Amino acid sequence: MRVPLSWLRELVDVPTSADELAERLTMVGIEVAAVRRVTAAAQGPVVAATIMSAVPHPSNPQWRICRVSAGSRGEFQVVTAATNLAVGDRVPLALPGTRLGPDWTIRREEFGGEPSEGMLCSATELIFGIPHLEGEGILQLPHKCPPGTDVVEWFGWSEDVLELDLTPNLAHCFSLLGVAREVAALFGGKVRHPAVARVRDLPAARTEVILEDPEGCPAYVASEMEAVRPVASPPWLMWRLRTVGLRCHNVVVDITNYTMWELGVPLHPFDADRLGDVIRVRRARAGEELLTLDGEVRKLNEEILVIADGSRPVALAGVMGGKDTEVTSQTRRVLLESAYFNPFVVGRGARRLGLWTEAASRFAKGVDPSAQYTAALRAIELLEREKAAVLVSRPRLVGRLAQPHKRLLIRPARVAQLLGIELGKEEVAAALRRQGFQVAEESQERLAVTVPSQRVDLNEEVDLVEEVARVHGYDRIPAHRPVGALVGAFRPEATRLKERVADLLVAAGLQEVVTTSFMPLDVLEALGLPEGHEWWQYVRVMNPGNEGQRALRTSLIPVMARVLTHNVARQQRGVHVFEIGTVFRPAAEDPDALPEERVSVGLLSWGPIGPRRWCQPRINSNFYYLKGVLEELFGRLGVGVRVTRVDHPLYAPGRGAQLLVGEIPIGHVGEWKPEAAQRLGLRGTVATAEVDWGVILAKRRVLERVASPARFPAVFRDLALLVPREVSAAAVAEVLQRAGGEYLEEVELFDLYEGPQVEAGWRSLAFGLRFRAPDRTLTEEEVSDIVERMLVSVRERTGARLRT
Amino acid sequence: MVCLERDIEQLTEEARRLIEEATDLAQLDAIRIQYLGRRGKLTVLLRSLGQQPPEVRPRLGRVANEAKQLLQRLLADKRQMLVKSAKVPTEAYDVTLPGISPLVGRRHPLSLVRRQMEEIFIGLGFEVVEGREVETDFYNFVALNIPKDHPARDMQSSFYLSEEILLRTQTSPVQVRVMRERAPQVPLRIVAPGRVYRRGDDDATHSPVFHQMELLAVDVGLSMAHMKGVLLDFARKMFGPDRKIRLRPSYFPFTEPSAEVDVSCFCDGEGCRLCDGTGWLEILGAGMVHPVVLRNGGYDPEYVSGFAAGLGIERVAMLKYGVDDIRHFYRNDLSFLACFEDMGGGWM
Ligand SMILES: [Zn+2]
Repeated sequence: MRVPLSWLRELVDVPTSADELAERLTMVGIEVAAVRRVTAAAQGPVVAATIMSAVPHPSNPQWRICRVSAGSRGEFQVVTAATNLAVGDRVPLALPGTRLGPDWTIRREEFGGEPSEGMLCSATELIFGIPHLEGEGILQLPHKCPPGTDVVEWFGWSEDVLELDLTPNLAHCFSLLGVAREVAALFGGKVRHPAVARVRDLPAARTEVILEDPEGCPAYVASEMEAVRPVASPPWLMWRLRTVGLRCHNVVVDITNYTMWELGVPLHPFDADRLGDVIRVRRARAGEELLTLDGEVRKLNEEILVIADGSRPVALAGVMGGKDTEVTSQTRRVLLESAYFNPFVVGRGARRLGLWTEAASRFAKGVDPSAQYTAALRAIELLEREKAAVLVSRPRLVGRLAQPHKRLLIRPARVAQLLGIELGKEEVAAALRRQGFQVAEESQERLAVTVPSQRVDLNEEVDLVEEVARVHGYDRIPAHRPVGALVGAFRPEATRLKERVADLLVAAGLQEVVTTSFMPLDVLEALGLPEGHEWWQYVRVMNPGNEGQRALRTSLIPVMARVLTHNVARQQRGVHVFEIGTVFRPAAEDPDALPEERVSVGLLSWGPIGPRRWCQPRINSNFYYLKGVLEELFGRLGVGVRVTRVDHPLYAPGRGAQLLVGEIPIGHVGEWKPEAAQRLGLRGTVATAEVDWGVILAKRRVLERVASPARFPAVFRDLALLVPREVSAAAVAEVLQRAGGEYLEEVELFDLYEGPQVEAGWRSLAFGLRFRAPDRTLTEEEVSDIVERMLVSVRERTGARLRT
Repeated sequence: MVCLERDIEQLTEEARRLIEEATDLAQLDAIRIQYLGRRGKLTVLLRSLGQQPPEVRPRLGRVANEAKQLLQRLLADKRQMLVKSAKVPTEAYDVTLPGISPLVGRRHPLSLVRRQMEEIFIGLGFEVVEGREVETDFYNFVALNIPKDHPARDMQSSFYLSEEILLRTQTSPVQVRVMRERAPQVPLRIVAPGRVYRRGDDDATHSPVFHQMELLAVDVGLSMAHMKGVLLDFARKMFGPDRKIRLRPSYFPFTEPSAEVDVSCFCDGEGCRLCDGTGWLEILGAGMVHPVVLRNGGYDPEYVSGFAAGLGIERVAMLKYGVDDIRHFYRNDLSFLACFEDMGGGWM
């Protein structure tokens, strides 16, 4: 909403500067986003000039050669095609160098051999910088504007305009009148209501109005006007439209727009000769169409309220008029509509049609439901004053307008309690009176407040409480810490555990990332996941803003792959990251059920681990690195996880594993298939893992008691075994563990060898063993016996033998 | 007796040889334990003196004690010798070489800021709760006093999954969900951090996915002054002890009165680029819980009142760390992420 200061000053005294006013309005909730200087399009020397002579152009009868005098600026010759000129007229002359628009600069030119030292301009050209309207001639200046005067300056075509950024509750501020009321409250002034036409003794209107949908349109005012002259608007009106950012059409349309801006009530003029004698306000029927003013054919349905004549829709009620009944330069009779339309009905229609016109957005926010008759009279006043039309019958009001005021109750004690300020009954009453409301004592506890119906946002006590707070000033509310019962303010266990998992992964050397919740389907494709894989079973977004927002993520790995490619492109050598985030699965069967949300832990690791060091070689990330991170994580959280080989479509054959708790799969870890990496332009091994965090939450062991440190020394033994290739390390370790008995504390694989030193089909696994008894120091002999037993067992069960 | 005396001599001799041959302190210690420890050879022998005939005991005792003292002296001498002869490394380190850095990751800046915000509010008595990201139209809008076709629905455009299901556009749906669980208990004080989604602009200050933190308190006698007190505490803990806050009237359908809350800029009101010359930074929206919302949550607005606030976590992070583009948080450029440390403790 734009508020030109000169216009505002017509309606109320503004005893301050534009910047100060902006600040004050902002502090009462009417946010002024900017104070803008609006100027006429014409920049440069445009001077008043008198036409001394005008003779036809010798080679083009459409043109005339004028000699003009611009006082002290001199005399000039101008070639013009304008027809509304006579000797003695005072007109604006744009001298060479004047810019009317970005690509429109006036130059000395020759027309058919005759020099032209400038251009005589129309108001549209000077104010808007666009070619003159149909039928609009050169702007005729009054003779009190002396020759040589700077025309733009003389008209004052440059002023400050407040740009309001309004919240939807402030519907009343979508009009100059509403803003004027706020300004009056701020500075203690009085609002000057604009003049309206007096209803003269005229015959009743002939047009019949039928309100078929009284909920959608409870009140309709129809005014019949004749002797219509839809010429270009006078300069003052054009300038006003320029300052609020509207275009100009003709004086009839322009005045209805002007009235809307001034009073906040949208009006619509029809060409009465193109309209039947009946106006029906009804819902559109399925299949009906309307060519609207913007040249679009709109398909209508029962949700959309229309104005129809006897046979067809002629306008979208409260949204936009139809092309066929538009007021054009040919129009001679006008039917002026001033109606109240239901905010929800207009809002729904505008949303369906995607057509948020100035009128529609005002109706949807709420227009003063009592002001339609007055608004019609205001427009009639202006139309008659500008000799644009004459009212020929009494405006017809059909339906019922709201009362201009409504009565609300407020308890001053409630105000004080909600705001936390000591405010007495008198202070509350005074604050409301400053808003221009009438206040009376209803009872000991209550005040009765009469508010104008334009304030569609005020309907109950709490609305008035806010009004008092606004007037009193939010800055006068003190800051107190609440006093009350202590409650246990904690992070719930689930939230705490998420933090713990993140912190453990950080301690393991990974960087946390935060990615979008939308699934990059192109990445999913590139990763080579086959159709039907569960990652493709995603929740669809009905109205994505772009291609990338069609699906919700089912896994963190595709979005994390994006993080990898981004960082590789940014020359990172190693990327080791994790994310803890929500993944989504469609709800089973029931389409109305909410999709399943699960928290997932994703890990991705690529490239050398850690920085280059002068004293140590680096290793590259791989399956075992991420597996190690997971083992550390699960170990710390006390989740017993088993790892088994699995064929996962993302992972290279033999390089993927499944994580199991009991028999329940809870995630996977593996190295990507080389083609997946290649399709994303990546080299080297990419290892990823994903774990369902819910299982961690459910299966973690809560530490209950801790054993005292061991009292007796341990005995260590190393064991190098030759093991057939097909026997897994875990299987050997398990046999050792079992055979070791109660004194075996730890079995740790510390070396692995395959190669020329051992025979083909075998590998060497070296285990470190730790033995300890709780009550004494074990003797060498005891330990040797145990190791012997372990060797026998491991030989029998796995075929392994001691490496010599 | 002679026999025992010889044993002592032999033991002493044996120990003396071992002490002589010892090359480091660990060996020396082992020898001490072997002979003089609680179960050491000489100790055991000394203990057995009690069984000897009384007439020989004094002499044997003297011999044994002398042996013990001798060994102790030898051990001490040898120890001193070993310590003295410890080799001085011949080659000096280049102490300017980089140390061996441990491999430790980092949290994402949004996590750091969220955690700090949570901790501030926990300290003020608010409990952390989490809500769903996919919500029903009812909890996201209707229950919050935003019926269908309400003009406020155009303030934020939503991603719909079906007619009635959408990605939440704000963390506020948590309000009614929690109220319905707890009503009519008071006090209720919660913070609910989480992801929210808005369709539309994707630019330096808008992201279709971002994070909010919802604040809600319901109790008997809560006022806007209390809201201001809590938010002032937050602003000072988050941005520094000298910060001021400013409330401006605003509009949210689920609060009334509603306020836009600004915190004084780091430039102390001088005006700078960050605050666009105003001296104030917009950080959050807040207000007194609307009676309709209290009723929807199962509370009677005649008896209790409440306040609520919604904070943008990215917004706080951007202001706190001077980040100029919200998209940086979601691109996860490792060099960008590496800049962040939890240094917020300064004012805690
Ligand atoms: Zn600043």
